[in-house]
Amino acid sequence: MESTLELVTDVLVIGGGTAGSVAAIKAKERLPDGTVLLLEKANVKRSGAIALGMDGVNNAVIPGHATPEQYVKEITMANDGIVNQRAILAYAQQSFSMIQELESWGVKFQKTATGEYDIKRVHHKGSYVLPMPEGYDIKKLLTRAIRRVGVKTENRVMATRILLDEGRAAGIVGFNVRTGELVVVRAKTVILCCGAAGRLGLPASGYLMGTYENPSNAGDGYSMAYHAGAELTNIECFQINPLLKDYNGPACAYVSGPFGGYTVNAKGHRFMLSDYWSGQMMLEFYKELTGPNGPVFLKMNHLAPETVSEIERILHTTERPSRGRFHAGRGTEYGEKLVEMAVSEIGLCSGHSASGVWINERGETTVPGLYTAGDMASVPHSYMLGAFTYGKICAANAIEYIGQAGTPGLDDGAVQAERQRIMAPLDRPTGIPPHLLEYKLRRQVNDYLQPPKSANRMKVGLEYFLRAHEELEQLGATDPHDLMRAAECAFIRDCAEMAARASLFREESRWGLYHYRQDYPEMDDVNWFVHVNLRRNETGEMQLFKRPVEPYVVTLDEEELRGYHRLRVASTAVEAVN
Amino acid sequence: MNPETTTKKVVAGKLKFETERAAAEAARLAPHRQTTKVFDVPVVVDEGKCISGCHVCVESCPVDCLAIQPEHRKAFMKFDDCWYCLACEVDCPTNAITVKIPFLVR
Repeated sequence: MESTLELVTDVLVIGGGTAGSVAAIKAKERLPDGTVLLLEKANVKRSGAIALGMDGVNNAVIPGHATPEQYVKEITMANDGIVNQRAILAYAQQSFSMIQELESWGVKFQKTATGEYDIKRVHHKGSYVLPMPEGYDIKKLLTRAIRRVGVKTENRVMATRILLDEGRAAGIVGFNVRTGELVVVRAKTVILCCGAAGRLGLPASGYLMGTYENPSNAGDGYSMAYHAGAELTNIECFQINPLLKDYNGPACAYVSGPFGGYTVNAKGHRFMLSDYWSGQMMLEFYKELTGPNGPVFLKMNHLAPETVSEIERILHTTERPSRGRFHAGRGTEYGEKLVEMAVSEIGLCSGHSASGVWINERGETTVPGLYTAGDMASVPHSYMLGAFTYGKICAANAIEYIGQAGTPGLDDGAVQAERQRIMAPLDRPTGIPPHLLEYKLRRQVNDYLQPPKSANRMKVGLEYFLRAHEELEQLGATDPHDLMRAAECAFIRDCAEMAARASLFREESRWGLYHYRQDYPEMDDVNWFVHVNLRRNETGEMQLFKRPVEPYVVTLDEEELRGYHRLRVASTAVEAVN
Repeated sequence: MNPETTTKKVVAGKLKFETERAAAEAARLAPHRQTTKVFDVPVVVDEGKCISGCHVCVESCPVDCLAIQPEHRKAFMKFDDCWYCLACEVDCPTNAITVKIPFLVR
């Protein structure tokens, strides 16, 4: 395993999922004579969050149904005001042309009999949900486009560190997860599209890979960006989603909601005004789940049989198609029984929440030449269409950047140090198996970081996450597959430390359940109407600091800003969470 | 290795090491031992239908938990990482694969 694959490219895209596919396609279109290399840890045909398709667009801003300004307002409200509005506005303004472009690649969106986009309302205020009943083959269409435009793809290659040259992104080091061969890529610009940190908390089932997110996404991008010196933001705004209990996949309110399905408590009563996923909604969900009226269910048994069949057809063919056999195995018929729900493990994911590598409206991180899009970039609630749109935005600006930047040099010392770090488990064939350390790390994440949060608990957790450095040094691997899992343990540890430190730093409660501090139960706009950002400083320490919220481009009055604070049906008021 | 020459003799109710720190250190330096237990895995391949030499499912798996058996070149689940996403089952040209929901989730 001493051999090395050395590659040189103009544009390097890491991760061929939702954001990365589009970033690579758009970069290549803009650079017909240059080279675009796409590295994928799995295989682009079935990778990322939409490997098995997607049932719809959750945040379409379609002229005639919504305006970009309305959308910016809605997302500002859902994030308690802590947003970079210009980044959300850039998405809202460019997402419709992205939808049209996706259609030109063969993606089908639901239309009414008169040929209009069949927009549904799920959000608290506006209408942004556009179903894709035939969305199961979207990844196939993207893969076709990747091949058509001539993007060079390397499958089963996992990047582990970003190389720098005088502070700018200059490539990556990684390895082939099948052969163990070291891979070094030199690039003029790097676009990170590595998805969520989906293996942070441990699912309640105890099954390591039973995660909400595609478990390939172990927080690789968060960790790599951190080690490259990039700023990360809103890490304490965890992702927690309402999911099918045990199965741990979406129900999904965005699918069944427009058909008339909704969330109820054990008495069969509706208790939330909106099923749109937000921290405030999750807090109401959590209160009901853990209160005397729990558990919580998705109610579809009042719907007509044809409607139930249509919901089943969508849920059992796209995104997580094994939902059907899971329910069949337990004898749960949507038309007869209520479907039990629970909360997911915690994760970091801007696609549903707001944690990510800090980017501006051009997709730029704070490291020159380093761009990021999708679930790991900081634009909140961006979902699939946000990943596509920012993939496109990153590609355009990365191409502009390399027009003025030369080919960076290769830091041989950094390459050798990284080779030593990632290959070390092979020298310890009888070392700790990676899945054991992963289990332990993620169990501690649940024990100490899962909301409701408190400083005392989180400090104990943090102590362990620091001690886990020693345990990483004991990991053993006998094949490249385990080497991949070992490298992921380091990513998971990094994300756990970031999650603990950011949560400790913000001494208030915000975003409903996502950052509910028992020791600071109130929202404190006087001291904490800021982003909490973190970065690796010059001495290698994790540094946390406040970054002011940029001036709004769409103003909201006080009343509007609190628009998501009244999500509970008035007649079902409950006591505060203990 | 003769235990008497390396450490004190083990006596029930008495400490084998001078300090607990020394005990922890010895435990940390002791080699790891592993056991193997064969159990029910989610991806089941019907070898009668699986085509020798085909590796479509292996390429489809997002967590790379499938592999080809060297002897008769049929697919099997090699690593216990299945996300029950069904990519392998959907993409198999001969419907040779059945994915079961993992027992802990089922």
